[in-house]
Amino acid sequence: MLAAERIVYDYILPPKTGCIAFAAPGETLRITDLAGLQVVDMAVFKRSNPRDKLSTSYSRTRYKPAPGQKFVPRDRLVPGDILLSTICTPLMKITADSAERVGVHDVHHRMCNRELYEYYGHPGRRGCHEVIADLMQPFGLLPEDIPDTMDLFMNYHHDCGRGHWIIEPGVTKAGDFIEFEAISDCIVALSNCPMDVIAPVNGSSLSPVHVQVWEP
Amino acid sequence: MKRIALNCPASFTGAPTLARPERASDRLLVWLWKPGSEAGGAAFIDAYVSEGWNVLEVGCASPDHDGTPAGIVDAVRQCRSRADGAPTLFIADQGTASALGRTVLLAHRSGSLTGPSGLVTVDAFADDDAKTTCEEIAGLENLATIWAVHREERALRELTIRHHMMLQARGRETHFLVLPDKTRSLAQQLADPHDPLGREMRWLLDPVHSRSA
Repeated sequence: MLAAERIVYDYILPPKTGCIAFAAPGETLRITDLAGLQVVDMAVFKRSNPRDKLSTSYSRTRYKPAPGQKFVPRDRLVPGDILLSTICTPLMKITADSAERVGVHDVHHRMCNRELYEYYGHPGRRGCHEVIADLMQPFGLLPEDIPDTMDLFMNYHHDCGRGHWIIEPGVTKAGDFIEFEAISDCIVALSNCPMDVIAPVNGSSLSPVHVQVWEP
Repeated sequence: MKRIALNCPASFTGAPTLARPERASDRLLVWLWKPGSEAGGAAFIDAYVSEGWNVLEVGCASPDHDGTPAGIVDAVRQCRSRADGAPTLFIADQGTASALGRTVLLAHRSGSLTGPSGLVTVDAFADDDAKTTCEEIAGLENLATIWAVHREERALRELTIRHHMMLQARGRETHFLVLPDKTRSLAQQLADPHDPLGREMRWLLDPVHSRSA
């Protein structure tokens, strides 16, 4: 049970908006899917050098196996795994994933963006890329500097037989959460995914998520 | 930047001063401080004026004086060449949360605020009066709030987070934030666009969103 007196940041992020959470080493970030089936795109940056940023590819493939364990490139990230940066700086460690099916988070693709919406007949709509780029602009980053995100609670998996990816509604129920312990001093940019057209990424309706950081 | 001293009856530390950007803006930031907590104020005002805010600075040695809320609301009215629907953001520096909270209540009840409004406080529950005022503020449906509290103030942190959670349960727009560094004044933190509180405040009434521009 989370003790209220240890919370250092607490905000309910409405649908179609973004926020930044700062997490110092040892602090824990929890993102709770309040209603279930809501995706949150998350980009992580080292606070002292925001150009040192999350790499989902390295996080899947440059982990160091425990002594005696065989190295296997992963297709998902689960509790115990470490989020690495584009230069393999350890940023955060996944410490909990409360969903019944653990590890259902997209770690292979980028975000929804203006081009995607425009192509599918929704011109003018902004996606998670634009939201996260706006959030990081004060830190000197440009839209092209935004890394691939970890898309929390997104059920996006590969069908090897048919050779393509499949988008399905998420598996989270109301109150499911994922937690990360910061290893570096991190800036975490979050976009509560606005996708309510094109694909059933967020269930039947968009919903808020709870963002909390607490000290050890 | 233009600076205008306003005419106000309440006993403030000097006349409340309005700093305006060269290009006309409807956004108003009201900063109430007590002598001793205003360090970094000039840079804070410069930063927000350069970002397009009108900044009304009110220094007050005895903010709990009965006439303070009416005096500030009067000053806010004098700032208005502002369109209906213009945003107003109130910043309560150390020891002024109760007074500025009562100001926000008065401004809402008197119809002085027609646009979105927000209140930023630091260590708001340090004085007993603030508790009652904050409970009254909880009744305002359209007020966005940031509740900042210093890390080492354990008792205040608990009171503040519980109040924030009560607001959340009522569906209010509310942010809770612990400040790690007591050596930096509120003005210094708000002026810094990389500071967690500075960032949170800039987005309070204008959140980053996915709606088209």
